[in-house]
Amino acid sequence: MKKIYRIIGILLLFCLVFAVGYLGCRKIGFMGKKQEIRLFMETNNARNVIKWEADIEEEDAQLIEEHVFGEWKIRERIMELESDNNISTQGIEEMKNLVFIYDKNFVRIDGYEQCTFSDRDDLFLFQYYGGNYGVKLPVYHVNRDVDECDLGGQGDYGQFPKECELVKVDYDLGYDLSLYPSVLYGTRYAGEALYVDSEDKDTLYLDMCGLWELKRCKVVDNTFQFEGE
Amino acid sequence: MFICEETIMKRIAKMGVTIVGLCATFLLGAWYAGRVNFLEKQEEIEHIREHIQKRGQSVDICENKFTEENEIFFEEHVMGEWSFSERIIPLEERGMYASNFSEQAVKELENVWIVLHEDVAHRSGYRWDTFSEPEDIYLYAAYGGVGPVRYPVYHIDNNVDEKRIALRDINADGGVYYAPFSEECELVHVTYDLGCDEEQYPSVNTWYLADDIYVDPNNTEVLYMDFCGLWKLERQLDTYGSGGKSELW
Repeated sequence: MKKIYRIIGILLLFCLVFAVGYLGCRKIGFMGKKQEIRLFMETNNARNVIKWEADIEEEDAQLIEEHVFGEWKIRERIMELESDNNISTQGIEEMKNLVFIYDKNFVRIDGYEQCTFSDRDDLFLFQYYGGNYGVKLPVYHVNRDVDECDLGGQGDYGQFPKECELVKVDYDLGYDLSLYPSVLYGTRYAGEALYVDSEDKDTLYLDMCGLWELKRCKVVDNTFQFEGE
Repeated sequence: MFICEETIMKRIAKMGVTIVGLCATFLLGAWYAGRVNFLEKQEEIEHIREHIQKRGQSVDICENKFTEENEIFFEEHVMGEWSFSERIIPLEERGMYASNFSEQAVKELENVWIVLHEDVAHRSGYRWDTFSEPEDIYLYAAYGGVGPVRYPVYHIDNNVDEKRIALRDINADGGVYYAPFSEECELVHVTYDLGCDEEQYPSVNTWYLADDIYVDPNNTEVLYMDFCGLWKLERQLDTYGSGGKSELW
Protein backbone atom coordinates (compact mmCIF):
# COMPACT_ATOMS: atom_id res chain seq x y z
CA MET A 1 0.00 0.00 0.00
CA LYS A 2 2.80 2.30 0.99
CA LYS A 3 4.54 1.59 -2.29
CA ILE A 4 1.44 2.47 -4.29
CA TYR A 5 1.14 5.80 -2.50
CA ARG A 6 4.80 6.44 -3.17
CA ILE A 7 4.42 5.68 -6.87
CA ILE A 8 1.34 7.91 -7.13
CA GLY A 9 3.22 10.65 -5.31
CA ILE A 10 6.16 10.37 -7.68
CA LEU A 11 3.87 10.38 -10.69
CA LEU A 12 2.11 13.49 -9.39
CA LEU A 13 5.48 15.13 -8.83
CA PHE A 14 6.48 14.36 -12.42
CA CYS A 15 3.22 15.74 -13.73
CA LEU A 16 3.70 18.89 -11.67
CA VAL A 17 7.22 19.40 -12.97
CA PHE A 18 6.02 18.83 -16.54
CA ALA A 19 3.31 21.44 -16.02
CA VAL A 20 5.81 23.92 -14.53
CA GLY A 21 8.13 23.39 -17.49
CA TYR A 22 5.28 23.75 -19.97
CA LEU A 23 3.73 26.84 -18.41
CA GLY A 24 7.09 28.49 -17.80
CA CYS A 25 8.16 28.09 -21.38
CA ARG A 26 4.74 29.07 -22.74
CA LYS A 27 4.93 32.28 -20.74
CA ILE A 28 8.41 33.16 -21.85
CA GLY A 29 7.45 32.26 -25.38
CA PHE A 30 9.38 30.42 -27.99
CA MET A 31 10.12 33.60 -29.86
CA GLY A 32 12.36 36.02 -28.04
CA LYS A 33 11.53 39.72 -28.02
CA LYS A 34 14.02 40.39 -30.77
CA GLN A 35 12.57 37.71 -33.01
CA GLU A 36 9.11 39.06 -32.36
CA ILE A 37 10.24 42.51 -33.51
CA ARG A 38 11.82 40.98 -36.59
CA LEU A 39 8.60 39.11 -37.33
CA PHE A 40 6.59 42.31 -37.00
CA MET A 41 8.98 44.12 -39.33
CA GLU A 42 8.76 41.36 -41.93
CA THR A 43 4.99 41.05 -41.87
CA ASN A 44 4.50 44.83 -41.88
CA ASN A 45 6.79 45.15 -44.91
CA ALA A 46 5.18 42.19 -46.65
CA ARG A 47 1.75 43.79 -46.27
CA ASN A 48 3.01 46.97 -47.83
CA VAL A 49 2.29 47.11 -51.53
CA ILE A 50 3.97 50.50 -51.83
CA LYS A 51 7.60 49.50 -51.80
CA TRP A 52 9.62 52.59 -52.57
CA GLU A 53 11.46 53.60 -49.37
CA ALA A 54 8.36 52.79 -47.37
CA ASP A 55 9.51 49.61 -45.62
CA ILE A 56 10.46 49.85 -41.96
CA GLU A 57 13.84 48.75 -40.61
CA GLU A 58 14.33 46.55 -37.55
CA GLU A 59 15.17 49.62 -35.45
CA ASP A 60 11.91 51.27 -36.54
CA ALA A 61 9.96 48.10 -35.81
CA GLN A 62 11.40 48.09 -32.29
CA LEU A 63 10.40 51.73 -31.83
CA ILE A 64 6.83 50.96 -32.87
CA GLU A 65 6.68 47.90 -30.62
CA GLU A 66 7.96 49.79 -27.60
CA HIS A 67 6.51 53.25 -28.13
CA VAL A 68 3.28 52.80 -30.08
CA PHE A 69 1.69 49.41 -29.49
CA GLY A 70 -0.73 49.32 -26.61
CA GLU A 71 -3.75 51.11 -25.20
CA TRP A 72 -3.77 54.88 -24.86
CA LYS A 73 -6.02 57.53 -23.41
CA ILE A 74 -6.06 61.27 -23.93
CA ARG A 75 -4.41 63.35 -21.22
CA GLU A 76 -4.84 66.76 -22.83
CA ARG A 77 -4.90 68.67 -26.07
CA ILE A 78 -1.60 70.47 -26.37
CA MET A 79 -2.12 72.29 -29.67
CA GLU A 80 -5.21 73.49 -31.52
CA LEU A 81 -5.85 73.84 -35.21
CA GLU A 82 -5.34 77.35 -36.54
CA SER A 83 -8.88 77.50 -37.83
CA ASP A 84 -11.95 77.78 -35.59
CA ASN A 85 -12.88 74.18 -36.26
CA ASN A 86 -11.61 72.76 -32.98
CA ILE A 87 -13.21 70.33 -30.60
CA SER A 88 -14.83 72.21 -27.70
CA THR A 89 -13.70 72.09 -24.06
CA GLN A 90 -16.62 69.80 -23.33
CA GLY A 91 -15.68 67.64 -26.30
CA ILE A 92 -12.14 67.32 -24.92
CA GLU A 93 -13.51 65.97 -21.65
CA GLU A 94 -15.73 63.56 -23.57
CA MET A 95 -12.81 62.37 -25.68
CA LYS A 96 -10.99 61.40 -22.50
CA ASN A 97 -13.32 58.40 -22.28
CA LEU A 98 -11.96 56.97 -25.52
CA VAL A 99 -9.24 54.35 -25.71
CA PHE A 100 -6.96 54.34 -28.74
CA ILE A 101 -5.60 50.88 -29.45
CA TYR A 102 -2.59 50.38 -31.70
CA ASP A 103 -1.70 46.81 -32.55
CA LYS A 104 0.28 45.12 -35.28
CA ASN A 105 -2.97 43.75 -36.73
CA PHE A 106 -5.45 46.57 -36.15
CA VAL A 107 -6.02 50.13 -35.04
CA ARG A 108 -9.27 51.13 -33.44
CA ILE A 109 -10.93 53.47 -30.97
CA ASP A 110 -12.82 51.82 -28.14
CA GLY A 111 -15.54 53.54 -26.16
CA TYR A 112 -16.97 55.57 -29.05
CA GLU A 113 -20.75 55.34 -28.78
CA GLN A 114 -23.85 57.26 -29.66
CA CYS A 115 -23.70 59.19 -26.40
CA THR A 116 -19.95 59.94 -26.42
CA PHE A 117 -20.33 63.51 -27.66
CA SER A 118 -23.07 65.84 -26.54
CA ASP A 119 -22.33 68.52 -29.11
CA ARG A 120 -22.98 67.84 -32.79
CA ASP A 121 -20.02 69.97 -33.95
CA ASP A 122 -17.60 67.89 -31.86
CA LEU A 123 -19.05 64.68 -33.23
CA PHE A 124 -18.86 65.97 -36.79
CA LEU A 125 -15.20 66.94 -36.34
CA PHE A 126 -14.36 63.63 -34.69
CA GLN A 127 -15.83 61.76 -37.65
CA TYR A 128 -14.36 64.15 -40.19
CA TYR A 129 -10.87 63.51 -38.85
CA GLY A 130 -11.30 59.75 -39.11
CA GLY A 131 -12.80 58.76 -35.76
CA ASN A 132 -15.36 56.58 -37.48
CA TYR A 133 -12.89 54.22 -39.12
CA GLY A 134 -10.67 51.58 -37.66
CA VAL A 135 -8.16 49.75 -39.80
CA LYS A 136 -7.40 46.06 -40.05
CA LEU A 137 -3.82 45.03 -40.86
CA PRO A 138 -2.37 48.55 -40.84
CA VAL A 139 0.96 49.21 -42.50
CA TYR A 140 3.12 51.39 -40.28
CA HIS A 141 5.72 53.90 -41.48
CA VAL A 142 8.40 55.69 -39.50
CA ASN A 143 9.87 59.09 -40.24
CA ARG A 144 12.77 60.20 -38.05
CA ASP A 145 13.22 63.45 -39.90
CA VAL A 146 10.89 65.61 -37.81
CA ASP A 147 11.41 69.34 -37.40
CA GLU A 148 10.17 70.12 -33.88
CA CYS A 149 10.30 73.86 -34.67
CA ASP A 150 7.94 73.50 -37.60
CA LEU A 151 5.85 70.45 -37.02
CA GLY A 152 3.38 70.90 -39.88
CA GLY A 153 0.56 68.35 -39.71
CA GLN A 154 -3.18 68.96 -39.90
CA GLY A 155 -3.00 72.24 -38.02
CA ASP A 156 0.30 73.51 -39.44
CA TYR A 157 1.34 73.50 -35.80
CA GLY A 158 4.71 75.26 -35.87
CA GLN A 159 6.91 74.93 -32.75
CA PHE A 160 6.28 71.82 -30.66
CA PRO A 161 5.66 73.06 -27.09
CA LYS A 162 7.88 70.53 -25.30
CA GLU A 163 11.63 69.91 -25.33
CA CYS A 164 12.05 66.52 -26.88
CA GLU A 165 13.11 64.67 -29.97
CA LEU A 166 10.14 63.44 -31.97
CA VAL A 167 9.74 60.58 -34.39
CA LYS A 168 6.70 60.51 -36.65
CA VAL A 169 4.80 57.23 -36.99
CA ASP A 170 1.86 56.94 -39.31
CA TYR A 171 -0.07 54.14 -40.89
CA ASP A 172 -2.19 53.46 -43.92
CA LEU A 173 -3.60 50.50 -45.81
CA GLY A 174 -0.33 49.97 -47.65
CA TYR A 175 -1.98 50.31 -51.03
CA ASP A 176 -0.87 52.45 -53.91
CA LEU A 177 -4.15 54.17 -54.67
CA SER A 178 -3.26 54.59 -58.33
CA LEU A 179 -3.17 50.78 -58.59
CA TYR A 180 -6.03 50.13 -56.18
CA PRO A 181 -8.32 53.09 -56.76
CA SER A 182 -11.40 51.63 -55.17
CA VAL A 183 -9.83 51.24 -51.75
CA LEU A 184 -11.50 54.02 -49.82
CA TYR A 185 -9.86 56.80 -51.69
CA GLY A 186 -9.75 59.97 -49.66
CA THR A 187 -10.99 58.41 -46.44
CA ARG A 188 -9.25 59.33 -43.20
CA TYR A 189 -8.56 56.79 -40.50
CA ALA A 190 -8.50 57.49 -36.81
CA GLY A 191 -5.15 58.56 -35.46
CA GLU A 192 -3.10 57.91 -38.54
CA ALA A 193 -0.38 60.43 -37.64
CA LEU A 194 1.46 59.94 -34.36
CA TYR A 195 4.51 61.55 -32.84
CA VAL A 196 6.71 59.53 -30.50
CA ASP A 197 8.94 61.06 -27.85
CA SER A 198 12.00 58.84 -28.28
CA GLU A 199 12.83 59.18 -24.54
CA ASP A 200 9.38 58.39 -23.19
CA LYS A 201 7.62 55.08 -23.87
CA ASP A 202 4.43 56.05 -22.05
CA THR A 203 3.59 59.21 -23.96
CA LEU A 204 2.36 59.59 -27.50
CA TYR A 205 1.20 62.62 -29.48
CA LEU A 206 -1.74 62.22 -31.85
CA ASP A 207 -2.56 64.56 -34.70
CA MET A 208 -6.33 64.37 -35.03
CA CYS A 209 -8.13 67.70 -35.19
CA GLY A 210 -5.46 69.21 -32.94
CA LEU A 211 -2.40 67.70 -31.33
CA TRP A 212 -3.23 65.49 -28.36
CA GLU A 213 -1.04 64.07 -25.63
CA LEU A 214 -1.88 60.41 -25.02
CA LYS A 215 -0.76 58.38 -22.03
CA ARG A 216 -0.39 54.64 -21.88
CA CYS A 217 -3.16 52.97 -19.92
CA LYS A 218 -4.09 49.56 -18.60
CA VAL A 219 -7.22 47.71 -17.53
CA VAL A 220 -8.07 48.02 -13.82
CA ASP A 221 -11.44 46.67 -12.65
CA ASN A 222 -12.76 46.53 -16.21
CA THR A 223 -11.91 50.16 -16.87
CA PHE A 224 -8.92 51.69 -18.58
CA GLN A 225 -6.75 53.78 -16.28
CA PHE A 226 -3.48 55.58 -16.83
CA GLU A 227 -0.50 53.45 -15.88
CA GLY A 228 0.91 54.32 -12.48
CA GLU A 229 -2.38 55.68 -11.14
CA MET B 1 28.14 -0.85 8.66
CA PHE B 2 28.60 -2.15 5.12
CA ILE B 3 24.83 -2.68 4.72
CA CYS B 4 24.14 0.76 5.97
CA GLU B 5 26.57 2.31 3.46
CA GLU B 6 25.00 0.27 0.67
CA THR B 7 21.55 1.48 1.64
CA ILE B 8 22.76 5.08 1.67
CA MET B 9 24.35 4.62 -1.77
CA LYS B 10 21.13 3.11 -3.07
CA ARG B 11 19.10 5.99 -1.71
CA ILE B 12 21.49 8.51 -3.23
CA ALA B 13 21.27 6.72 -6.57
CA LYS B 14 17.47 6.63 -6.35
CA MET B 15 17.37 10.30 -5.52
CA GLY B 16 19.75 11.02 -8.41
CA VAL B 17 17.56 9.10 -10.82
CA THR B 18 14.49 10.91 -9.51
CA ILE B 19 16.16 14.32 -9.92
CA VAL B 20 17.34 13.45 -13.43
CA GLY B 21 13.83 12.18 -14.19
CA LEU B 22 12.29 15.40 -12.90
CA CYS B 23 14.71 17.50 -14.94
CA ALA B 24 13.90 15.44 -18.01
CA THR B 25 10.19 15.90 -17.37
CA PHE B 26 10.68 19.65 -16.94
CA LEU B 27 12.59 19.80 -20.22
CA LEU B 28 9.93 17.70 -21.90
CA GLY B 29 7.29 20.16 -20.73
CA ALA B 30 9.37 23.10 -21.91
CA TRP B 31 10.05 21.46 -25.26
CA TYR B 32 6.35 20.74 -25.73
CA ALA B 33 5.47 24.35 -24.89
CA GLY B 34 8.10 25.56 -27.34
CA ARG B 35 6.62 23.32 -30.00
CA VAL B 36 3.12 24.68 -29.36
CA ASN B 37 4.43 28.26 -29.48
CA PHE B 38 6.29 27.52 -32.67
CA LEU B 39 3.24 25.99 -34.34
CA GLU B 40 1.05 28.89 -33.26
CA LYS B 41 3.56 31.36 -34.67
CA GLN B 42 3.85 29.36 -37.91
CA GLU B 43 0.09 29.38 -38.21
CA GLU B 44 -0.01 33.14 -37.67
CA ILE B 45 2.66 33.71 -40.31
CA GLU B 46 0.82 31.43 -42.73
CA HIS B 47 -2.40 33.32 -42.06
CA ILE B 48 -0.74 36.66 -42.79
CA ARG B 49 0.91 35.25 -45.92
CA GLU B 50 -2.44 34.05 -47.18
CA HIS B 51 -3.93 37.49 -46.64
CA ILE B 52 -1.04 39.12 -48.44
CA GLN B 53 -1.26 36.72 -51.36
CA LYS B 54 -4.97 37.29 -51.67
CA ARG B 55 -4.43 41.02 -51.59
CA GLY B 56 -1.94 40.65 -54.43
CA GLN B 57 -4.57 38.89 -56.51
CA SER B 58 -7.39 41.22 -55.65
CA VAL B 59 -7.01 43.50 -58.66
CA ASP B 60 -7.64 40.57 -60.96
CA ILE B 61 -10.59 39.42 -58.89
CA CYS B 62 -12.29 42.83 -59.09
CA GLU B 63 -14.26 42.17 -62.22
CA ASN B 64 -17.82 43.11 -62.73
CA LYS B 65 -19.45 40.20 -64.53
CA PHE B 66 -22.59 42.01 -65.63
CA THR B 67 -24.63 40.56 -68.45
CA GLU B 68 -25.95 42.97 -71.06
CA GLU B 69 -29.44 42.59 -69.61
CA ASN B 70 -28.16 43.54 -66.15
CA GLU B 71 -26.31 46.51 -67.55
CA ILE B 72 -29.47 47.88 -69.13
CA PHE B 73 -31.36 47.25 -65.89
CA PHE B 74 -28.66 49.04 -63.90
CA GLU B 75 -28.62 52.04 -66.21
CA GLU B 76 -32.39 52.39 -66.20
CA HIS B 77 -33.10 51.72 -62.55
CA VAL B 78 -30.05 52.53 -60.44
CA MET B 79 -27.72 54.96 -62.14
CA GLY B 80 -28.42 58.59 -61.37
CA GLU B 81 -29.00 61.06 -58.56
CA TRP B 82 -31.47 60.27 -55.83
CA SER B 83 -32.97 62.05 -52.88
CA PHE B 84 -34.63 60.78 -49.71
CA SER B 85 -38.41 60.76 -50.01
CA GLU B 86 -39.68 58.92 -46.95
CA ARG B 87 -38.71 56.23 -44.45
CA ILE B 88 -41.05 53.34 -45.11
CA ILE B 89 -39.68 50.84 -42.56
CA PRO B 90 -38.11 52.15 -39.34
CA LEU B 91 -35.91 49.90 -37.22
CA GLU B 92 -37.12 48.57 -33.89
CA GLU B 93 -36.26 50.85 -30.97
CA ARG B 94 -34.26 48.91 -28.41
CA GLY B 95 -34.11 51.21 -25.42
CA MET B 96 -30.61 52.37 -24.57
CA TYR B 97 -29.70 54.20 -27.79
CA ALA B 98 -31.77 55.67 -30.58
CA SER B 99 -32.12 53.13 -33.40
CA ASN B 100 -33.68 55.52 -35.90
CA PHE B 101 -33.10 59.01 -37.19
CA SER B 102 -35.22 61.53 -35.33
CA GLU B 103 -38.23 63.11 -37.05
CA GLN B 104 -36.21 66.29 -37.43
CA ALA B 105 -33.38 64.38 -39.09
CA VAL B 106 -35.81 62.78 -41.52
CA LYS B 107 -36.55 66.31 -42.74
CA GLU B 108 -32.88 67.27 -42.64
CA LEU B 109 -31.98 64.28 -44.82
CA GLU B 110 -33.85 65.98 -47.65
CA ASN B 111 -30.71 68.06 -48.13
CA VAL B 112 -28.59 65.00 -48.77
CA TRP B 113 -28.09 63.82 -52.29
CA ILE B 114 -27.13 60.27 -53.32
CA VAL B 115 -25.13 59.71 -56.46
CA LEU B 116 -24.93 56.20 -57.89
CA HIS B 117 -22.78 56.06 -60.96
CA GLU B 118 -20.71 53.46 -62.70
CA ASP B 119 -17.43 54.75 -61.31
CA VAL B 120 -18.46 56.34 -58.02
CA ALA B 121 -21.03 56.03 -55.27
CA HIS B 122 -21.18 58.94 -52.86
CA ARG B 123 -23.42 61.43 -51.14
CA SER B 124 -23.51 65.16 -51.64
CA GLY B 125 -24.85 67.87 -49.42
CA TYR B 126 -23.72 66.41 -46.09
CA ARG B 127 -22.19 69.21 -44.06
CA TRP B 128 -21.40 69.99 -40.45
CA ASP B 129 -24.85 71.58 -40.03
CA THR B 130 -26.92 68.99 -41.89
CA PHE B 131 -28.17 67.47 -38.63
CA SER B 132 -29.11 69.27 -35.44
CA GLU B 133 -28.71 66.34 -33.07
CA PRO B 134 -25.48 64.42 -32.38
CA GLU B 135 -27.40 61.11 -32.27
CA ASP B 136 -28.39 61.61 -35.90
CA ILE B 137 -24.80 62.42 -36.93
CA TYR B 138 -23.67 59.25 -35.17
CA LEU B 139 -26.27 57.12 -36.98
CA TYR B 140 -25.50 58.72 -40.33
CA ALA B 141 -21.82 57.79 -40.02
CA ALA B 142 -22.50 54.41 -38.41
CA TYR B 143 -24.54 53.37 -41.46
CA GLY B 144 -21.77 54.40 -43.85
CA GLY B 145 -22.84 57.91 -44.76
CA VAL B 146 -19.38 59.44 -44.72
CA GLY B 147 -17.42 57.07 -46.95
CA PRO B 148 -17.42 57.51 -50.72
CA VAL B 149 -16.56 54.52 -52.91
CA ARG B 150 -14.68 54.80 -56.15
CA TYR B 151 -15.25 52.14 -58.77
CA PRO B 152 -17.99 50.32 -56.90
CA VAL B 153 -18.78 46.82 -58.10
CA TYR B 154 -22.52 46.34 -58.42
CA HIS B 155 -24.32 43.02 -58.06
CA ILE B 156 -27.89 42.20 -59.02
CA ASP B 157 -29.96 39.54 -57.28
CA ASN B 158 -33.46 38.67 -58.44
CA ASN B 159 -34.25 36.32 -55.57
CA VAL B 160 -35.77 38.61 -52.96
CA ASP B 161 -38.13 37.50 -50.25
CA GLU B 162 -40.36 40.58 -49.99
CA LYS B 163 -41.89 39.27 -46.77
CA ARG B 164 -38.54 39.21 -45.01
CA ILE B 165 -36.25 42.05 -46.02
CA ALA B 166 -32.97 42.06 -44.10
CA LEU B 167 -32.11 45.54 -42.83
CA ARG B 168 -28.83 46.42 -41.20
CA ASP B 169 -29.33 47.29 -37.53
CA ILE B 170 -26.30 48.15 -35.41
CA ASN B 171 -28.23 47.69 -32.17
CA ALA B 172 -29.76 44.29 -32.99
CA ASP B 173 -28.24 40.94 -32.09
CA GLY B 174 -26.48 39.78 -35.22
CA GLY B 175 -26.77 43.26 -36.71
CA VAL B 176 -29.85 42.47 -38.80
CA TYR B 177 -33.53 43.39 -38.47
CA TYR B 178 -36.04 41.54 -40.64
CA ALA B 179 -39.21 43.24 -41.80
CA PRO B 180 -41.80 42.67 -44.53
CA PHE B 181 -41.82 45.04 -47.46
CA SER B 182 -44.87 47.25 -47.14
CA GLU B 183 -45.84 47.64 -50.77
CA GLU B 184 -47.13 45.11 -53.28
CA CYS B 185 -44.37 44.67 -55.79
CA GLU B 186 -41.62 42.32 -56.83
CA LEU B 187 -38.22 43.61 -55.81
CA VAL B 188 -34.76 43.20 -57.27
CA HIS B 189 -31.84 43.49 -54.87
CA VAL B 190 -28.87 45.58 -56.00
CA THR B 191 -25.75 45.78 -53.85
CA TYR B 192 -22.34 47.22 -54.33
CA ASP B 193 -18.98 46.72 -52.69
CA LEU B 194 -15.30 47.08 -53.49
CA GLY B 195 -15.44 43.99 -55.64
CA CYS B 196 -13.81 41.72 -53.13
CA ASP B 197 -14.93 40.40 -49.81
CA GLU B 198 -13.02 41.09 -46.60
CA GLU B 199 -11.00 37.92 -46.97
CA GLN B 200 -9.57 39.26 -50.18
CA TYR B 201 -9.29 42.85 -49.00
CA PRO B 202 -8.40 42.12 -45.38
CA SER B 203 -7.33 45.61 -44.43
CA VAL B 204 -10.51 47.34 -45.52
CA ASN B 205 -13.11 47.16 -42.85
CA THR B 206 -15.85 49.70 -43.20
CA TRP B 207 -19.36 50.28 -44.45
CA TYR B 208 -20.42 52.15 -47.54
CA LEU B 209 -23.44 54.27 -48.08
CA ALA B 210 -26.39 52.59 -49.74
CA ASP B 211 -24.74 49.30 -50.44
CA ASP B 212 -28.13 47.60 -50.20
CA ILE B 213 -30.67 48.87 -52.69
CA TYR B 214 -34.02 47.43 -53.73
CA VAL B 215 -35.49 48.15 -57.14
CA ASP B 216 -39.09 47.94 -58.25
CA PRO B 217 -38.63 46.64 -61.83
CA ASN B 218 -41.84 48.40 -62.91
CA ASN B 219 -40.76 51.82 -61.73
CA THR B 220 -37.57 53.53 -62.89
CA GLU B 221 -38.16 56.67 -60.79
CA VAL B 222 -38.09 55.05 -57.35
CA LEU B 223 -35.45 53.14 -55.36
CA TYR B 224 -35.52 51.63 -51.87
CA MET B 225 -32.39 51.89 -49.78
CA ASP B 226 -31.33 50.18 -46.55
CA PHE B 227 -29.91 53.06 -44.53
CA CYS B 228 -30.88 52.95 -40.85
CA GLY B 229 -34.31 51.65 -41.87
CA LEU B 230 -35.70 51.25 -45.36
CA TRP B 231 -36.03 54.48 -47.34
CA LYS B 232 -37.86 55.35 -50.47
CA LEU B 233 -35.67 57.39 -52.80
CA GLU B 234 -36.89 59.43 -55.70
CA ARG B 235 -34.95 60.20 -58.80
CA GLN B 236 -33.91 63.83 -59.04
CA LEU B 237 -33.97 65.45 -62.40
CA ASP B 238 -32.40 68.73 -61.24
CA THR B 239 -28.69 68.70 -60.80
CA TYR B 240 -26.88 70.34 -57.93
CA GLY B 241 -23.23 70.85 -57.19
CA SER B 242 -21.14 68.75 -54.85
CA GLY B 243 -22.82 70.58 -51.99
CA GLY B 244 -26.22 69.15 -52.91
CA LYS B 245 -29.20 71.36 -52.26
CA SER B 246 -27.50 73.38 -49.55
CA GLU B 247 -24.89 76.03 -49.90
CA LEU B 248 -21.27 75.04 -49.83
CA TRP B 249 -19.56 75.72 -46.54
